[in-house]
Amino acid sequence: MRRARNLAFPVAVAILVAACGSGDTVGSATTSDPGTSTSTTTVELTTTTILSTTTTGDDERAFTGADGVETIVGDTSRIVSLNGDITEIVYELGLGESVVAVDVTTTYPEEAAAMNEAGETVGFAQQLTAEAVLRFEPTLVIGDTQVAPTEAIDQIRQAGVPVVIIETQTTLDGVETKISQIAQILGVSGEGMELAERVSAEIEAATDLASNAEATPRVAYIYLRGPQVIFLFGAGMPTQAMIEGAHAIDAGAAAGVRGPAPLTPEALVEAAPEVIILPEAGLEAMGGIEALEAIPGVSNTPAAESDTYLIYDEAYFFNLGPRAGQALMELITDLHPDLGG
Amino acid sequence: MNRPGDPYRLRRRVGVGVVSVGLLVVAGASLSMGAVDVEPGEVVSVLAHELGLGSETPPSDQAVAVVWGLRVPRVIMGALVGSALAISGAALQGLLRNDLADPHLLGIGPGAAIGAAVGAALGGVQAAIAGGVVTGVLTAFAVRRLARARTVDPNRLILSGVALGATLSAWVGFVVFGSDRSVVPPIEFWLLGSFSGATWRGVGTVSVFLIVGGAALFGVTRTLDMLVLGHREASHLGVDVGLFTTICLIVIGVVVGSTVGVAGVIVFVGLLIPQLMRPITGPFHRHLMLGSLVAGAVFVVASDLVARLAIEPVELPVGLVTSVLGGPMFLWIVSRRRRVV
Amino acid sequence: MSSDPTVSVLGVGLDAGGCTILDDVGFEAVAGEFVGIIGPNGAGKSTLLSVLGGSLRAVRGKVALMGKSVRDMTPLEQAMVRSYLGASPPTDVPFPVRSVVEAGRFPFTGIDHGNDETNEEEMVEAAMSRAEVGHLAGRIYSTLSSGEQARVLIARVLAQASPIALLDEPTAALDLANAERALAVLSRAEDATTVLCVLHDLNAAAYFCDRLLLLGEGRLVASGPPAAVLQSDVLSETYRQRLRVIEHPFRSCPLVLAE
Repeated sequence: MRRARNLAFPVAVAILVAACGSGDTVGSATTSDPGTSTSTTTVELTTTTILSTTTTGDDERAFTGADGVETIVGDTSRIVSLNGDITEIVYELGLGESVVAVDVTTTYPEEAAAMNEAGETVGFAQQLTAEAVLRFEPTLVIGDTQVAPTEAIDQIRQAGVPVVIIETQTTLDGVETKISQIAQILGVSGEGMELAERVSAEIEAATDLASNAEATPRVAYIYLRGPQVIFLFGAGMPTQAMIEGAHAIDAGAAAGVRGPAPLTPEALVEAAPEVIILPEAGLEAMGGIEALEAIPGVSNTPAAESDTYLIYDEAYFFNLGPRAGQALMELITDLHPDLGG
Repeated sequence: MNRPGDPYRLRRRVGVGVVSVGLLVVAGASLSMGAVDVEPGEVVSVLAHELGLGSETPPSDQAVAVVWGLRVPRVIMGALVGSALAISGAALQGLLRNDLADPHLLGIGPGAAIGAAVGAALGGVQAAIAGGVVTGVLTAFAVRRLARARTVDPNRLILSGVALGATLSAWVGFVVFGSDRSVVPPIEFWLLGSFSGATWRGVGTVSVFLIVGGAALFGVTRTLDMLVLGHREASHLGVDVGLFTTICLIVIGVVVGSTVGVAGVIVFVGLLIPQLMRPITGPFHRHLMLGSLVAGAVFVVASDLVARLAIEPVELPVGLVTSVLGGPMFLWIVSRRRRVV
Repeated sequence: MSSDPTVSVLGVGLDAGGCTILDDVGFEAVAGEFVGIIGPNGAGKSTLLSVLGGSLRAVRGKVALMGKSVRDMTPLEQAMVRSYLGASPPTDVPFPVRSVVEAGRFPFTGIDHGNDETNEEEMVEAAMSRAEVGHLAGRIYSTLSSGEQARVLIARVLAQASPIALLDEPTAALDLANAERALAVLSRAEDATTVLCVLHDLNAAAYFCDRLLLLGEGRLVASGPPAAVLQSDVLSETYRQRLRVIEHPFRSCPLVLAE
């Protein structure tokens, strides 16, 4: 099982990140105004998302998902999560015990990540097969719009298993929407509101702090997973939300990169980042900073010249989940040491 | 016929009998194996239940959903597509008097994939099949133009076809990358094939094309035999070779195009299966195509089974499996082949 | 014997690559006639046969088989009135001999190796035995010697049993004895069959043919019974080689010898 995943991983990551890119257009920019992101609007946002929910009695709830399909959810005793950020939120809401399988992007919390090792995995949510999900006899499947192919989702539904597809969020404001929606699906709206408010407050505290910063460094996020899978992330990625939330310029987006783009030396030189953020596991797999700097273009960046790299766990950094505020605060302190945390 | 003059009779009966048993075995294995564990006994009771034969213990909902909702349409789809590709290959080899001819190798498959991808972008599996049929037929005519140069050198046709196929494959890429990727299946679906999206609806639509097209090809087996005598001989014996070639290429375009619409390009089936069956069934197209019909189904259903199980829960594109199995077998056949003196 | 011609050729001409291949060729043949087409290499014999067989189109003139213009006939209609044996048929046919012979019945029934119609079966059997290939019935055609293949194709022509047979050197691959036997069979094919046969062997032509057409440089040089056409001076001029014609010592026909 483990061997199998290793084989498939690089291929699927490329597809995963490609899917992120195309999913951004349906992001929350149209549904929420970044300027009004305060704790009062949090409540409002929560109530607006409830509009798509109707109580059908007997502890059953109907949801109209981002794919326009209405799904009736009742039993949450066997949950399959199709995205790492969703897994994280389900656990944070206290329903970790009910999760029977996750996808391979789930790396947090540890007990959830361990499910991947134990074979309690559906593989890649971007290459989903119906049987890979059905074999866990789930009572509820949650994923976002990156899940593919849609035929597999249809097949799971035809087998009588409810599948709820939520919007893919790529902004800081999207975090509370995401948490609220998942909480409603799971029937724990109260806990959800609490968690959403807490995370929103953390994000707000971080962005408030960042607004005092004087510098606006150019920051690039380079996603890597071994020597052949190297992407420069740009506009529409969760990393853009994090970088810009930290009073910095997303160098990739500024250089015209949309979504994930295979890293080319010229694109990187054009982006001219002063800081490069890297995923921890990927960097390790590649062989550290030295190996990274061997890639043409990297050593020509201001970041390489000043040796300014920030290394975070990837799920922590861009899951836009319960830890988003914490991660943002860490990024802000790392980028602007003068603010003093 | 029980008379001298048919040296293949015994071999053919035994061979086709063995292959038919093989089909039952492979189909049975495909129905009982997969990510979800379903006991063979339960498979039988699902089949009995759904076919209205009644069974003592009604099967579980999960078993019905998996076996009848997922696996049965998938096995039927695999068998239909395998049969269709194999008889198309046999017919094309006879038509062009070149046993290296193969609908995908000559570019008909990639050509069909262009229209199928456009169809998928416009809406649904039906549109994909329709698009595949249209561009499949158009490409078949392009092949016909190439075939006119055949008299000079039979290898030239194959080389031209390979070049045409490569070009058209690239255009599939343009269509796929230029389309909404949440609607259009990814490039590897089109160029490597997959049955993971097989549904009863897809089976219903594609079977119309395949049964009509297949029946048409079986209706002209005697005329195909005449072409084996040589195009000039056939013409002197009353075959309008030009008209016949045109009609056959249209039918092959329809058959291959509709398979591409539902399952993408699955290579090697049309090339390999007739090659394997010819020594068993003899050269007459009625027998060769009947043998290929069964053997093609076995080969594709078995390949799909491997594709599902090899690195479970991730599925391989079925074309990878047919290539891995088919490539070496084909090389072996070619290396063994000696000109009969 | 009907007096209407089965084959009617009038003023046929054909050019290729700026050269005239056939020029104003005209003749008629009637049912039961065995007509030999002779002439040196490049005289246009095979081209004439191709025009009759419908695979080449005459630029000028008219060709009619059984009273109908070849140009207006579909391949199938043509195949129902004439059989055709080309000069270089494929040798790599993987079918058993019986099926190759049965192909002659295709215009009427298809190459029906499963056909149970006794009459068809009998026609094929009879053709094979007349061409002396009955013992080869189960052999694969491509494994036969070229002489055996030639006899199988003659059997196919016999099986087709059409009113006209167009043969391009059917005995080229046969030894003297086999050639004699094959021509003997063909010359008394069906009583009513018109056979037009390109032959290089002038002595075989002299003996077996009712009538000869001598072609030279695309033109019909002479036409008539062998004794009339096979004249030393005409032959020598047409073949550009001194040839002498004498009386055959024991056959009642001319004998052509090179000087």
